[in-house]
Amino acid sequence: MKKYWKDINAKEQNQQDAVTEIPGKDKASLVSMFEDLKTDGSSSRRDFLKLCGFSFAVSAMASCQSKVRKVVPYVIAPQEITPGEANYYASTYMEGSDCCSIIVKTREGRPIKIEGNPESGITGGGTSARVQASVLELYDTNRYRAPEKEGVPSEWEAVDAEIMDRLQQISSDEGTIVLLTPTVYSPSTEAVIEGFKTRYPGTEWIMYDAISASAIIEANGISFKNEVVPDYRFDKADVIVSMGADFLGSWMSPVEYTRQFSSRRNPDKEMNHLVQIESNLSLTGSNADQRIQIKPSQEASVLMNLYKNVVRDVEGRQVDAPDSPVDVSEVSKKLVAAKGKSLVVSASNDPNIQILVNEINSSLGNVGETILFESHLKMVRGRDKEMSQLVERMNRGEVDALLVYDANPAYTWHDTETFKEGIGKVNLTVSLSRAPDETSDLIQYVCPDHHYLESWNDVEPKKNKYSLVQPVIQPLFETRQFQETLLKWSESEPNYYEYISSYWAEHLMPLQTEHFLPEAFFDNALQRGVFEPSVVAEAPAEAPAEEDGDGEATTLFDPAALSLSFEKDDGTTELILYSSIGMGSGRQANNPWLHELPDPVSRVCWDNYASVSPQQAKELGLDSGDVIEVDGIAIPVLVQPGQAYGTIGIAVGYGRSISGAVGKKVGVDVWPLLSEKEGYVQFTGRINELATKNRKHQLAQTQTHHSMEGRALVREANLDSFKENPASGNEMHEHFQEHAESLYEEREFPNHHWGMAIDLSTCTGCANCVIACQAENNVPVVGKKEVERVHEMHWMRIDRYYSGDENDPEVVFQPVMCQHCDNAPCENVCPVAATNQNSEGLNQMIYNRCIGTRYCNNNCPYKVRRFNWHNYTEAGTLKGNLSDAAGMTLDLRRMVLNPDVTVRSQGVIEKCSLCVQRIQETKLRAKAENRAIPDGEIQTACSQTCPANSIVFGDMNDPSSEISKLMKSGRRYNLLEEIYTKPSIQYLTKIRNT
Amino acid sequence: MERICKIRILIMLLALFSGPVIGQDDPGSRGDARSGEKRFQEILNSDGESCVSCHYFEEPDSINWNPSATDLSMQSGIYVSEGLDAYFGLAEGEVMKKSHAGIQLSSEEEKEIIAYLDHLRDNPVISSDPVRWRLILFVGMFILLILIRIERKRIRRIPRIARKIMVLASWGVILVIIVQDALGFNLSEDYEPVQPIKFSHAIHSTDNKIDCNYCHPGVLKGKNAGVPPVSLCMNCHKHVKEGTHSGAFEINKVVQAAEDSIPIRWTRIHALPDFTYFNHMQHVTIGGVECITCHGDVEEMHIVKQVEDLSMGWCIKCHDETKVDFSNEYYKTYYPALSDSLVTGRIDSIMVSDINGRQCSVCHY
Repeated sequence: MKKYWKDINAKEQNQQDAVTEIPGKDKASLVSMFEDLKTDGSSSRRDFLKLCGFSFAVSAMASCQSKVRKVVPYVIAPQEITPGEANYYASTYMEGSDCCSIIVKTREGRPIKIEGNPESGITGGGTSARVQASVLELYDTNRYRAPEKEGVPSEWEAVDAEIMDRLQQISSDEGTIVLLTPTVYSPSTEAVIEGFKTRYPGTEWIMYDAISASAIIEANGISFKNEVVPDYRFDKADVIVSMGADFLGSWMSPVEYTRQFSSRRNPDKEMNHLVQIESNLSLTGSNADQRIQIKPSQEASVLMNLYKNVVRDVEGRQVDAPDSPVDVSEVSKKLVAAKGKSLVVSASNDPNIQILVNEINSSLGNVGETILFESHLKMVRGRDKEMSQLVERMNRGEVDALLVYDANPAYTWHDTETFKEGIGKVNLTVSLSRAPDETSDLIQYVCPDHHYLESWNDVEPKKNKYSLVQPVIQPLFETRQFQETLLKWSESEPNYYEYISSYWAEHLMPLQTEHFLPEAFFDNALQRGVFEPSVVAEAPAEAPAEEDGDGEATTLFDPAALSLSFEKDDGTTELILYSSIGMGSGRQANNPWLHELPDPVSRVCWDNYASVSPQQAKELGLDSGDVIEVDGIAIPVLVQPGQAYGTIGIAVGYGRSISGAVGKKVGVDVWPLLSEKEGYVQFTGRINELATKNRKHQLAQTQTHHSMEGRALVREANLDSFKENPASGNEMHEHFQEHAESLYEEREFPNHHWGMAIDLSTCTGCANCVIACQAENNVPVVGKKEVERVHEMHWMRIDRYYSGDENDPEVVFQPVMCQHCDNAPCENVCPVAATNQNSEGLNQMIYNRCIGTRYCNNNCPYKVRRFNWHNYTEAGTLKGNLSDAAGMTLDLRRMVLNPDVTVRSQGVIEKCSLCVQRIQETKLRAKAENRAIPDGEIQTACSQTCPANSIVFGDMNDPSSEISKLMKSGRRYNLLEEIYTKPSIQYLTKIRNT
Repeated sequence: MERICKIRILIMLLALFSGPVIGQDDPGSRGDARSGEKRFQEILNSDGESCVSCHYFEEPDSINWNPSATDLSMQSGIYVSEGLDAYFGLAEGEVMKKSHAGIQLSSEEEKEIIAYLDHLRDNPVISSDPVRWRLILFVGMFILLILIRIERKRIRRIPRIARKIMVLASWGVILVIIVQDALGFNLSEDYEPVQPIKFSHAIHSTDNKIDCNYCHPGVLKGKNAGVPPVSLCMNCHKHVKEGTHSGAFEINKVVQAAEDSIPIRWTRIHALPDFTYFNHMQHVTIGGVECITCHGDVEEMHIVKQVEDLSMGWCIKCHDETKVDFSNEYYKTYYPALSDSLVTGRIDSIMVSDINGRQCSVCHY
């Protein structure tokens, strides 16, 4: 068996004496262990008893006054609302270039949970952590509550009148009005903007994406005469080579790609093979079958060699290439063997590199197979050059009015100072942001936009894949939708709903033949949420020019024409900036759920950090938490196994200077480290100055506490051995089964026996389920300090284990939640029977019975029980014990709570319930409808939202259910099955295609 | 009748003491309010009634359908515009006209009473809190015990028997309070709060034969029974403007709420704690439980009172004793053994507790 290790320190300590220092061995450290921020740590037993007495008295007094509760019915009840019952509406999540078709669950008119829309041909019911967390944004206390003028709240009429007046003035003086937005992929919004441009001649519309695909778009223009980001089909590719593109984590359309990629990771079907060539250990790299570490500057020479090998093998042509820093002959062989069914992608923002990638794909015949242009992506169309020119023009005083919608260049633009200077020279500045940000702070007028859950909209994330956005709640504040604001200023009827429905009737209705009435067509689309016409709309201007492209490639393409730099590695440390799973580009910085979501790979939350390779850390004498200075920016170090030697990776999106109470000053702002090369923003570069600082910064990491301790928690095998023996890597399962003996009576589950199977082979560790669980089950946010004290509350965690060489490890992910054991160790030790097995196989937890001994927590071998050390959600009675790091007890934020799940108070244990509320709800529905429950009707929050379909929930008593079939798989095993706890959660071994 | 009169007098007396005391320091409008207070309590007619005989300060109960003084004070604006005397004569309602017949007020008196009502609106009477008395009693008994202990010399003058009785009685009171409070902790059997509108289920349900489900349709299709929206009240009260007992005053509140679009803030009676999940549909639609089983004879109540303590013991007792209708396809599928036994006659009934009705996770999650 492989030797797994948890982190770099555990690796260094020999396994035998992994616990060399017991914390609390001496009295001083014991005191400091219990030291609170408020007390001085010298509390005696007397103080403790006093506190006890006091708290008893307080609780007695509190209980004397039973609260008078009010019940306030509607004045006029909306017909569709039955109090206590949920309504579901199809909508679309959109946050910049992130887009996902969703179903919103509302209770009494307030959205509380987001699910993926299974009707969507793009995401197919999957979501991402950010999509899940977006519902909390709606209840952000930091949002603008009314329009503002020079920072003073104002009225819409006044602001409209003044702005329209000044726009008119500028327009008639033939001045320049610039509308700055991120990529707009809503057809109706585009029409609205066109209308605005007609009303105010001299308006320029510039699309700016903080993380753009400029190079890909322009390279495709050169290679294929088609300036778009194509539709990458990871499901059709047998061999995928990704040059630093974290397509499972944050690159382009990760939900879609995860779905496609994972559909090919089931070893029973034909598995794909992923080669990741990168510097940071990304989520995609963690899932790769082969991972090659390079420095960013070496990408050109690696690709050139790949190209050389591919054209040699495919076309028999010889091309010169510099020496490759790594051996890519194996990789190119695999690519050539899977000709037409392979895919090479690169995250580089250098058009020369992207052209080279295009040429490799063309040679391999992938264009038209795994790279499609007829269904190209419309979500990322911004050009860095345009933004760069805009900043220059602003500084030259050539821009008279700047309207900024949903973009925050004062934070995300690499040359912030120049942008800020430029904005000072613009006569009229208007921001249409939802919440205060670095840009809106510099701006005269703020005309706040709705949250997407309050808005109407339509989107076309991919060509001919439409999705509708519909409001699911009345606007909470005096805000107005961006499109309606523009319509108002264009002196049109500011009713965007009417606008969209007539736009759809006019432009999209002809694409289908099912409905004859525009109302019927629109209502149907609205109900389904998506409209994906089967007829391909003709697009003459954008018709893929593959033949031209191919023709040129075969005859003429000369890589020497590209200005590629093949510098020799001179030993300088290089920098790679990336966007993290939780924060992305930092739009959702005020979202505590996302801050507390540990990064899937590093397991750090509430911070960004500089990833340094173990070897380099040793050389520089650095340890995790030491602060270094990268080109003048101080940032804590994390020693990251798998980080390429001589590179440092840092996540952008942190260190917001203007945000809400949660997001302000969390981490470090590293956008200024970006550079620009020939009009393309570069996320990689050389570090000029690297200095160590003599101080420490505590990083909150949720997994320094877990170690595999030599047990086969994650079992894995490679594809070849799996084909020989389906139980490969899982041989011990049979052994344990044979020798299992229990002191307990065998339990029987005659009615239902709920179970869950998690396929480690398809799971990518994207952590989407963690947030889905948090939203569904009212899991509290504890804050950074509490995470440091190992008090995090997530019911579901994704354990990550490394194996092999610390500088080039293999990674496995394992989602772990309560295992719902039949022979549960937690149950026997509870003195008050607050946790026990129910007749359907669930380990139930009764909060009101729990007295907080935490014996169960100690006795749980899986460490999945969570204790409420403080009153995190204000459900408790002791006022002094409130710990609210993220404003989650504010009335507005509490609107996100699920009323069907108890809000736990301090002093009780909680844990995964297998979404018992959903089980009970479905059982009730079945009884009311006089029927049995079909397999798949009950979905837990995690299984429903998984884009990879790695989690299967069902009734193990039903022989035809999916879970029963998986129970028979040779890959099935239980966590720690040697102790015979008989869990209801099953795991399927991870199979690597190596 | 005599008894009611006595109660009225008693309440009147109480009202005299519990009514707001107006400060002496401020002349002017306060002076008006002070004389208004006197007028409000002055005998007006031959039956020996004053304003306060019907409109008292203590919260109303079923024996008095009239608006309380506080209720009146909320409307004092109308009196100013209409004039109090004219207001009595308005065709607002027969009940009101009849009860105010023969009352003549001078404009001075009227002004004073209105001033007093204005004052009352701004300084509402706070009803005494029984919980507070209980706590005082509890602490007092403790202090008494301590005094008996430390003041031995003086206490000796009291006969021994009396001393012993005192000690025993104090302990008794303390224990009773502790036991009662502990048993009734967070339970509210017999809770019968005052509602913002004197809505009588007896009149609606028994007299006018309105079905429970008409106003509480949620019981059939969901978790909550629901309190009807004002718009539902207006289905009838668009036409029914005057009630049997309270005249137009109470119904007017509903009409007003509908016109102003301001929801009515009822006081909640039947409430389960957050950690308990209860679903009406499960019990009413699937289980066939009658409303009366848990809520008592609401249809005969003028003021709704919680008749059961809604404790867990009470829930479980019912689950143990209630038969399940096993014709449901769900039960047949997932409880085949029980279903067979029932068909073959081996058992004659299946209780809720037999199909896991005692299981924790049925109600707690």
